[in-house]
Amino acid sequence: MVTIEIDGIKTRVEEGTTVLQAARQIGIEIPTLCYHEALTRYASCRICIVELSIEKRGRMRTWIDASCVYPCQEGLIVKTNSEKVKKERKVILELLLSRAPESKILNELAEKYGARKDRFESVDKGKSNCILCSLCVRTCHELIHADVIGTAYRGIRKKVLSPYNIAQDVCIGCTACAFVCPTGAIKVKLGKDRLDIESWPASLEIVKCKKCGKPVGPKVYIEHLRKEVPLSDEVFELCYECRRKMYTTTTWK
Amino acid sequence: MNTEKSSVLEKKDFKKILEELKLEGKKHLFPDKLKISVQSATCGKASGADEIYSTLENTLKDEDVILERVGCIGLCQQEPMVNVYVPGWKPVVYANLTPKIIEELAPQWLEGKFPEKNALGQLGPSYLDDMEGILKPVSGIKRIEDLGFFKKQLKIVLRNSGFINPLDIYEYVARGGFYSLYRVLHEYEPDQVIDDIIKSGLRGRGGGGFPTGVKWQSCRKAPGFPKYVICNADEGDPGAYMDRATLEGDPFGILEGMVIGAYAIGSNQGYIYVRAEYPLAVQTLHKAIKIAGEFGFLGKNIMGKDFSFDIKINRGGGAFVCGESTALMASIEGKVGEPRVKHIHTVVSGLREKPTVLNNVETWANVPRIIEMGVENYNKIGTKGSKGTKVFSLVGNVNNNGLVEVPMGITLREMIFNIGGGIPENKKFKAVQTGGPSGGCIPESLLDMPVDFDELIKVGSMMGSGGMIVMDEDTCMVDVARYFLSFLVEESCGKCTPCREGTYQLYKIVDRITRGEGREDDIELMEELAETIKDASLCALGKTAPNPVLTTLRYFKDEYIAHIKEKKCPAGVCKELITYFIIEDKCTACGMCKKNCPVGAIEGEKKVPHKIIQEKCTKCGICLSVCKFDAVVKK
Repeated sequence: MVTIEIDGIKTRVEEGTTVLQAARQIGIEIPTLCYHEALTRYASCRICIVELSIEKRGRMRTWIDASCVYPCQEGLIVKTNSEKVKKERKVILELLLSRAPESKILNELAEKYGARKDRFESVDKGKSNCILCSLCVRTCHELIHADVIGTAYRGIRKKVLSPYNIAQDVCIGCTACAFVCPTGAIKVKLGKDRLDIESWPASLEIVKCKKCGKPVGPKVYIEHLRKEVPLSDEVFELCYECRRKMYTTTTWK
Repeated sequence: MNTEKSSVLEKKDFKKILEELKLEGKKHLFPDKLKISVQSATCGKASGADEIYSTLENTLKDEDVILERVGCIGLCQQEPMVNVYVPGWKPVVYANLTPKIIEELAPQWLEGKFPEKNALGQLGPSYLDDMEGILKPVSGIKRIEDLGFFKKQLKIVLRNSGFINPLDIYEYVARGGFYSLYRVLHEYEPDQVIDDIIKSGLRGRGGGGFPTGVKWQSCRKAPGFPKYVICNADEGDPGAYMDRATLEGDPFGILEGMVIGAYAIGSNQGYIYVRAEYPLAVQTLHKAIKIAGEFGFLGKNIMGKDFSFDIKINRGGGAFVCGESTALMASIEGKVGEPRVKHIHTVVSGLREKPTVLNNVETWANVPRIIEMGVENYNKIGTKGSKGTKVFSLVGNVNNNGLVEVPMGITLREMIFNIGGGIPENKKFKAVQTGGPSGGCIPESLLDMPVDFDELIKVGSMMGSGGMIVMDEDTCMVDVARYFLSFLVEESCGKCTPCREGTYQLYKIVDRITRGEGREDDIELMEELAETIKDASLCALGKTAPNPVLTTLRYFKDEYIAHIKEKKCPAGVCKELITYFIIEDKCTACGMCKKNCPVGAIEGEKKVPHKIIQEKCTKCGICLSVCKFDAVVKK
């Protein structure tokens, strides 16, 4: 255990706990965008920056670092909302807003930190809406194990894409990528026969309900579940509503 | 060579082997017939070394002479160069050669004559070792060591470059090579090696300046196996080619350093990450590794000891950011070359999450020399906090462009005006840029500061890997900042927001200033943005990316203000802010400007002073350069 100080509050935490975790444990909120508890830490959005100080060889060193990855160590002093932090967080927000001007979460944060939209113009004028937080890529790789998407190109031209920007048969159409996206940049279109992800080439055949004809889900996804979950075939052939009906009639009567 | 080698290796006593190699190497270095070494590093080849080589081959095809290729001796400005060895005489370096001059000189060399034409100088004690007293000096030709360019240099890393055949292991041993490795393997415990390197004060030459020995110690102590050793040869700074010259000119020095390092930290596998844009260096390394292995200096049971170490070569794919240690390791692993946070150091968890020591080419090349000369002697070189020498590529508006190795603590003025020979065409010095794209521009007023790791940081620049670009009065500092930023925008990996978006926005602001569209509050905005990028970026690339802007703002703010407020470029570089016009009184109506203007922007009849139509003018400056009467001016 180590003792650290966050915004004037002394707290004891397990060594190696991140500053973000330690702050949240005592109810201090630090904004995050690319951080997700279920995923490896990437530390790319830098919105969670804090001011850190520690005494080393009799000298106090102060610097700015990302709280989502910085490990707590004895004597660490954290300021989550100092003037410097607020000022730089504001600039980072303005940079992100140039990418995703319509994002709800960014606009809320912008209001809080006084970030403006007129100082920077983005390279794609906000068309992509993507802030390259990589949550979708990490989810697809680490949780779904499908590895459909990754980042291509570098710098300002960096993009989330499927390999060679062609449709990949490993995609199961789970749409977890769209679910984790903080800015709503990944758009999913559920059509009559197909499910399309519009950010990169992905178009999947839909299975329709045996009883009512409504969509059940992407065919590969249903097949994937069929292998993983030991349930009767019928379950995979019915839509959500018909499945409920089937259960209420068969189990409770 | 094969028969020689096997007869040497049959004896297991490596001390004896080294002595025999040394003896043979001396014969290779100073043979009993005419030897001509063509300096054929990439810089030499670019100046026509291959043509010189083939001309020599043709001219001397019926003669009993030795023709070989060596690396670069440093004065790249005067390449192509050859070293001429006539038995019994000190070798003479000839410079600024052309095939025609070769045809004229070669027959004279055959007769044992040293014509003064194109002679640069004769090699002295820093190359000849104990042959200095034996070989006769050539009269009428200066000693290399007495020339302005070489006088203040001290060659440790580059001491063999341009002198020995880079792939002749005999010659490398003749210059003392592999003796350090022998001593380390036979007389030192690994901890003693680390102790020596710590005491030597050697700091990482890739730019960071971290104490090398301390790094090794942390890696040795870190739990985990296997441990890895990496040589970072992904040199990517614009205008910098120190590592390339070392790799091409003296590869065994780097390999020897790596084996010593591996022994010290307890590693059996090493990697050299070298950029693919250096084909000659890659080729040279492949051959050097093979040869060192055949002689028992690399591979299994090195020098007959119970220690094995192999080196693999990884070629970089053209990303500047892969010179950053964690991005480099990701690239070796086959992943996207993106840096990661380094709160857990790479010496604990580096390549494949194993303890890893990564050092730059120049750092590795220093290691065997430190063991050889001893910690105390090495300590005498340099300043309090920065020991030893540093290799720089001195380029830009300076008379002697080339590679220089100087003791730390030398002043910038000595480097530019003594070694570099000053600014061409008697123009005024304006600034020197050190530390690569993320370094800074240092003004005239600071030229007397000593060059070392800490001093350069104090003035807002950094040592970097050793690029040094000299700029004269005709350079626009806002334009310079724009150029370096454009490089960094291209090379940012795009992972973190401040570097990806911030550097791009900074570039956009500087770009609009150079186009005369700067706004009153731009300087303030740049400062705010630069501060955020510097503090909040993930890796060193981003953290230093605003340096070109910050240092030019610090020392040349008036130029920014002139661009923004007066819409003028004082140096006359930024096209949108300059106008060309013709002074009527001076114009003789000769028609030269009109004839040469590529866009037909000049009008005027015979005997009538000419005029530039501003709407059509693209500001290429051709009229100015062709006018013989100084009638065309730029404002």
